[in-house]
Amino acid sequence: MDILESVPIFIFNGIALGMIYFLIAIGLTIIFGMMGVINFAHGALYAVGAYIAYTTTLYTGNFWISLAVAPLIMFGVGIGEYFLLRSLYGVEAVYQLLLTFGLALIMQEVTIFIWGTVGKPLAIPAIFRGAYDFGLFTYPKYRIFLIAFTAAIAFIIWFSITRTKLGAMIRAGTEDSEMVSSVGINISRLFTLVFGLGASMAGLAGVLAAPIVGVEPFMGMNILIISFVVVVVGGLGSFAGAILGGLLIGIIQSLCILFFPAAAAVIVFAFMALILIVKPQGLLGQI
Amino acid sequence: MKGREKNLKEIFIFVAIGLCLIGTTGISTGFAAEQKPFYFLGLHCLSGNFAGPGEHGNRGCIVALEERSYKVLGRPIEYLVRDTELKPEATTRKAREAIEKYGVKYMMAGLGSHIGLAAIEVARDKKILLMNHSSGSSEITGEKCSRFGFRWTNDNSSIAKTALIPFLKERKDLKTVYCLVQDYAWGQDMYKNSKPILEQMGLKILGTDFIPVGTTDFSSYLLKAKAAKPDFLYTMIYGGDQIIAAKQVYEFGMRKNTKAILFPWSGTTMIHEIGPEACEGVYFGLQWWYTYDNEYSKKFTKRFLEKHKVYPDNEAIGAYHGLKVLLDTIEKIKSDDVKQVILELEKETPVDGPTGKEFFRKWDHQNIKQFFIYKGKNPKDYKFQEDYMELVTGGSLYRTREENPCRFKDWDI
Repeated sequence: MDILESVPIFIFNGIALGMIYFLIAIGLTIIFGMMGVINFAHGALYAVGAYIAYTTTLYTGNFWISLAVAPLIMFGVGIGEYFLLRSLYGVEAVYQLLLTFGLALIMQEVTIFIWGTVGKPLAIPAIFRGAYDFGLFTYPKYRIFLIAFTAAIAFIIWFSITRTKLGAMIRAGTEDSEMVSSVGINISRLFTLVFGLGASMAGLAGVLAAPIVGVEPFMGMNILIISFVVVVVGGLGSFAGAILGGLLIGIIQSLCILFFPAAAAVIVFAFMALILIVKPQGLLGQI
Repeated sequence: MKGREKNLKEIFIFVAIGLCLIGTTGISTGFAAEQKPFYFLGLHCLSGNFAGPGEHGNRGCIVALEERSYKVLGRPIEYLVRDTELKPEATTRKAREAIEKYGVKYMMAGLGSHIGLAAIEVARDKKILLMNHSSGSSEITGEKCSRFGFRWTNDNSSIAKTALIPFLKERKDLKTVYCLVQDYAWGQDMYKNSKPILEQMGLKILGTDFIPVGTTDFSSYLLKAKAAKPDFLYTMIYGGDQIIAAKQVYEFGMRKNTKAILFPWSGTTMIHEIGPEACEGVYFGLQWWYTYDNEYSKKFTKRFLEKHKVYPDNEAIGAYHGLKVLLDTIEKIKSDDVKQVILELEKETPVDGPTGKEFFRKWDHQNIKQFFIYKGKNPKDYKFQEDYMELVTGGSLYRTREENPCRFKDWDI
């Protein structure tokens, strides 16, 4: 196949990759966008989600149950994390960073304590094993499912934030929390909910990524970097920015491997640097 | 009076014998108490990404020590364990500290070429014996060889030869190849060693991609490889990246699009993490696998399984055998003098080992053993839960003296 003929395939692969990046980064951007907290424990939440998927599948023989179990558990973990963070309100943001970083390390060690240092295998669910034939190329069924599932998640989040009363309260709380409190809305409960939601998204991403990247204690640290790149490129705290950032990073990475494989390791960071120079708030960021 | 004298005499003799007995016991007790322990330093990776196989190396040493009740030459063995953290600077620092504090004369290190290279410099400098049980870099028994360093595991050039030549001789149907190379020292070294062999064996290289370490998505590389339509996908990727790559090779259906997929060097723990589905039908180069059919391996696997409740990794067998050879040699020559032990090992006496008769070559201290190609079994054919692999081929091909730049410069031991 001619290299130029391959371009549409690699763009498609970039989109698929971008959707996975979006899924990984969305929890981070929700928490930062709504509450201004940079959650360094995001990667650890993602890893714990993957381990929950492994354990659930091991004991029930059904991967799909973990799609409900992991976000629920991680919602609880997220609320716990938020209660710890609340005690640091009013102090410098660096203390929040330190706390979340410390929590990430604790979660990693707890993971090792429970599941050990050796990674665990988690197979792709039987229904999505194999590939779809698109004529010009074939593409794994599981990745097609991931694209569709992530698109559905993105729609639900967008709809909840922009078209529901709860979403309106959250957006208002982000703009002016004192004003929202003064009209009788419990802002603290609202933020607890947002934090739990962000954590559950990280857990969900861990579940969905586990069959293709495996489950191991340090997987959280590996994805934290790409999550930050996506959020910075798209715009800090911007939901639409996370989608755009994820897709752009995915496509750039995919095409770079086709045309300039030697630059594959640095291209996303070079792109992030370029965005920071040209538009420091990110492509769709307001901050 | 005479009776009294006789009684006194008997009492005297009795007391004398008693004193002698007490004295003898006292002397022997005192002697035992003064016996200096034999310190053995195990440098294993016990944290980070390689902590799993690293722990197996540690456990392999424990099995070897328990077999002889932690004793050598009648002296108690003090086993000092230090975490390399997979960092050369940590390895060097911790090795030096242990050597200076305890007077360690024998140590083991491996798991990571950079760790092996750091450890051999310490051995050279401190003139202590290093048994490397798992580093692959050719430099360890090549350009940077030392008379104080021995290596159990096959080096990269040997792996490339032994993984490819017997395999490709059997697979004459493979005419084209696509190479995926992990872009760091080990991957580059493997590619450098493999490329001429692939060409000599008549394969056309359709493409080569150097993939950054830490890559978590191989989809674009696999799409490129798939588009090139090779007969053979040759994947020089190791460690955590290999686990992800193998899973995605399976996900992208590469097995259906190629005639053969080979990871030239893998490990037991990695294969367990890849999982049975993704391993099926894929070829893996292995130093050793726990179902290998010889008495030595069976005995060790049984003992390890009883002790640690898991099947041993190749790290475990390497560490076990390396330590066993050292302690057996010390017992044989009745001395723990490093120089004497090196001279004894240099006699190239074959000993029973995990892959058959093995010995350390005199002029580069490389252990001569078999290296194997295994193939992932169909899970339906498993005889027990972890019965992932079946043996395909094996061999023992190493650099000749002309090919190897190793020339010991530290002969003055």
